[in-house]
Amino acid sequence: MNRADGATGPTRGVRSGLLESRAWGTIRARLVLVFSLLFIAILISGEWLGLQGLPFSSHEGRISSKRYEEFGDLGLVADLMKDRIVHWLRARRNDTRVLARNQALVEGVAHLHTAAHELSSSLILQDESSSQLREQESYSAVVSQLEAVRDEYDVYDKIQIVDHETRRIFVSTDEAEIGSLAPDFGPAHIHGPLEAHVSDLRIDPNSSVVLSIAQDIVGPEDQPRSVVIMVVAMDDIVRSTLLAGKGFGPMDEAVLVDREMRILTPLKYRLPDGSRGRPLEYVDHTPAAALAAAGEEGITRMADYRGEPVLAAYRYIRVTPELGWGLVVKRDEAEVLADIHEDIRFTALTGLVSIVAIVLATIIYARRITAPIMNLSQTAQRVEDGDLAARASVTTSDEVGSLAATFNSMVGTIESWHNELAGRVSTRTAELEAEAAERGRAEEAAHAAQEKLFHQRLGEAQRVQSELDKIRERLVKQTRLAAIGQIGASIAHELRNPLGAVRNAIYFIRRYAAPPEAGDGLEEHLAIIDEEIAAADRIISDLAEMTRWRPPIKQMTNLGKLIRHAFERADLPDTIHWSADLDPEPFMLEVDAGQLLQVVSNLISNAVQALQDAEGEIRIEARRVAHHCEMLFHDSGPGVATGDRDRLFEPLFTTKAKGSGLGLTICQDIISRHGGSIELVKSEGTGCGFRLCLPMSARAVEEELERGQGG
Amino acid sequence: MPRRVPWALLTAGCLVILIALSRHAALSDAPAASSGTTSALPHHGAYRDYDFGQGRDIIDVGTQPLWIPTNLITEAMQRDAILSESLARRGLTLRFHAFFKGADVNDFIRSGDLEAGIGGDMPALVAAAEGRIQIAALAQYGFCSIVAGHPVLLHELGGKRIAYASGSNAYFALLRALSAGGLTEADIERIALDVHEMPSALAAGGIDAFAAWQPTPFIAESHYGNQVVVHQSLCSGYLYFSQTFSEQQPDALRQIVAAELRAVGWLGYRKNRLRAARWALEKTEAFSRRLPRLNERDYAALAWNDLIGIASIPSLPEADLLGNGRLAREFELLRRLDKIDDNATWEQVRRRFDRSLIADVLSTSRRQLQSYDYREAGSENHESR
Repeated sequence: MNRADGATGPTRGVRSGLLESRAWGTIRARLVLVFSLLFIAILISGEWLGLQGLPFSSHEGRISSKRYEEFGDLGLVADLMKDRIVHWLRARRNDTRVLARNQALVEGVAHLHTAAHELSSSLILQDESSSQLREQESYSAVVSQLEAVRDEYDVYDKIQIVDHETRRIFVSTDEAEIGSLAPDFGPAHIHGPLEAHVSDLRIDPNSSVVLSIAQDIVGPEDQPRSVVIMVVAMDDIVRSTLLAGKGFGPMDEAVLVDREMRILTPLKYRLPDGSRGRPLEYVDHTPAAALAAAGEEGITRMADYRGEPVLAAYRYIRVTPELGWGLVVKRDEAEVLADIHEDIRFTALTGLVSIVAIVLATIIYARRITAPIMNLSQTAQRVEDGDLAARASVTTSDEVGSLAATFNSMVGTIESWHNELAGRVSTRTAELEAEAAERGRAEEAAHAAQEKLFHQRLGEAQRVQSELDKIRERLVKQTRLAAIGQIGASIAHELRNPLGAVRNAIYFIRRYAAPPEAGDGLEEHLAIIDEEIAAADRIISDLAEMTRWRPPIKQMTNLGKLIRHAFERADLPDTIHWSADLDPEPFMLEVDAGQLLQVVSNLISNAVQALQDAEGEIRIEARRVAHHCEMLFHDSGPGVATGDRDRLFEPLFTTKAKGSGLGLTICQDIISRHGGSIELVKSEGTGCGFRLCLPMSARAVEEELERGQGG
Repeated sequence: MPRRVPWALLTAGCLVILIALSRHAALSDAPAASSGTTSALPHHGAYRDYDFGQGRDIIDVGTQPLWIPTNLITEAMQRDAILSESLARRGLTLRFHAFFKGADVNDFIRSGDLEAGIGGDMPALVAAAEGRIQIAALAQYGFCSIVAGHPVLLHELGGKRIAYASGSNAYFALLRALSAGGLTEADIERIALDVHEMPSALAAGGIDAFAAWQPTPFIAESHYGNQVVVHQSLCSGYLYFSQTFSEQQPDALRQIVAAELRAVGWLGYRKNRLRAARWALEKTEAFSRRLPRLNERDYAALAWNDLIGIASIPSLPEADLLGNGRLAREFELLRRLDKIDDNATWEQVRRRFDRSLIADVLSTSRRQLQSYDYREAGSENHESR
């Protein structure tokens, strides 16, 4: 489509198509994309930073904070458990110490010890020793005391009194043990009056994990001779401390291990192989257990004996400098982070909803922003397409409205400029058109003149060329004719004499020498000879005529009379009729009468020869056409063969048996000298016709005009 | 050069500069103790005026006033009239000198200025490897702690600035903690400080964590709100004597060991611990004013935590001396870290731990161990300060 300035550009439909193909490049799309991506980025980064923390800052993130919060909780729980275990141990030691210092017990044991020592050294069998010992007076008192303590504290399985040297049990709340070796102690290594010694854990015959606390019973000699051993099952402390407590969740677990990392308490969960770890058999190889058993305390993240990720606090419990336990309090990390995972899921869901809302809101708002811009764009498009009356219909009070107002003002200014310019252009165009028309006419005239001149020159050139051709042709013909004429003249001169002699001989013969016996045949042959001599004579005449070429001497001639004269001279046979139709009558023509007579005579002669004594007609018509006389010569003979038309006027060309071939050549030569032309107009089939065209003289035209005016 | 400034690059550059400046400011607050400070020197400036006996019938004992519960034990020993009278009968006088850490005690034992001292397991092992000492009894059995400005896992200590007392128990505790976290010394920036400087340095941001023994970790947690114990390692302290002294004065040595046994037994009672805590706090304040003062009850409670680890008799734990025991593992680690000469063997070191001394004392002085006579200030035993 052409624009107002005439330039071409894409159509509106093409442009909108381009816009659609670049849909993501529009402001609307960019707004939606940018705000959506921005929101997503902010949401994700905010959530990420909130979860993971901000690098190089004190903000740790919720995950770390949650972990460390849990570590703090676990640490507190572990410390509490450790304290409880330590206090429990201390209480057990205190119990043992208190019992070991009990004066009544000390005295009673001292008695029994002496008796037991004597019995054992006397190699009496164990059972008998035991029964004898039980008969001792102080035995039941001591046993009762031990049983009272056991029952009172309600945590001890049994209480034993062991000989310091022999390690044999000589008093026990379990009578079956009397006389047997104490399982927990080698040579006594208890020295302190303050702290009782704690043994390593062992599994008793009842498959319980038990602990023994021993204390020297210092006799009156201030030498330890006996040891009181209090045996306590770990179940007591496990139930009360490790399985539950404040801050200890249902999924949490506390594991107690010895220095070899053997568990001292049953595990809460099954092992990966489905079995249950057994105390003092299963070794917990987890990092926390190893560290705790090695005397370290702290917090860690690790995989527990199930392979589950857990947070763990590990503590070392100093039972004695020789004996220590590791305590691991752990919590599944999944449980720790469950709240955070739930938050993440909730945030993801709300984020998704928010993103959708943001996208919709952005789309709506983007439309509001871009609609005025599109209006402005479309108005600009219309202006570009030539509609300077177009104005943007934006009435908002923002930057786009200001832009639209400025745009409208600009277009108005452009329109007024355009109109003014259009006016000037029209005026100037009219002037230019006029000038152009003038110039055009001048150019046309010049062109016409030039063309006319050209045609004139061309015509002149053609005429000149034609004249030259004619002249050349004539010259050639004339040269040929001259040559023929010269030859002919020579031939004519040379033949006339013999023909004269022959003619004389024929006369003589006819008159004086014809034998009577020759009869008519001789005369017939003599007549033939006369005809042939006449024909030869005519040829000679024609040839001679050609040598007697002279320019025509024109004078006003009555064409009708000339034609009648030519027919009278031709001596036509009775079978041939002639007619002449001339208009006007009299038909005056300025010609050389003698030469024209020869032309007409030659044509009549040709017609007679063509008719060959058959019925026929010869007709001559003459008319004035413009400034020329047009004369038609027609005979009803067989006509001229098509192949002979072009050669008809050549010298010496003939179709007759007895022709010189020069008649039409002479006619053409005479007519040409008169400034006219002769041509064959009818050929075979309907006779033969020639058109002669001769120029009228100026005088003949005047006379005609006078006649026309007068008549 | 594009006309528009690359804002992202500019912003990143500003952030880097800000972070560098903040770290520089934090580092500039740290005490200038990372290298070449007096606390890193063999002879601390604080020891300049110490007057040692050096063969004048004076038994010089190195103590650590900033280390619970050894300070309670040594304060009691200083006021033990039974000990002083026993030594006086032999023509000897006991003199106590305060040191910041066991490595310093070792230096002065090595130089012959001290006859006895209190040191942790690392300095004791180092000295034992050199064959210079005889280790008689436990003086502490508790924990050394790693304290940080916020909870961290051990592997997160990598790249952090961690203060330590060179050659001390706490240093070894740090090495063990790093090892447990999969780290080595090369993964941290070590900053040598005296233990009393550490909490304030952490509060000022000059360091990210420190390794110390009680009561410093307790003070850090209680007096500096955001400092927390992130790890503890079992550690022990010992009373040991120079080899020369043990050979020359075996009786005096046993008297001193008996005094320690007595003190441990005496401190088993709460009222005695409170009393000894008061003495220890006075000594701490006189020795260093850098640490906030605790109250006697807290001090006594802290001391009791480690005293009960000793049990009533501070015998050297047999389990620790086994070939696969705690001390043997520590010895191997120290040797691997080139803290102990490669030629030293565990057997050589183990022989320095003389378990027979306490048994000997118990068998000969058991009654004496249960008699107590501790006198207040103006005691018979002298001290450097």
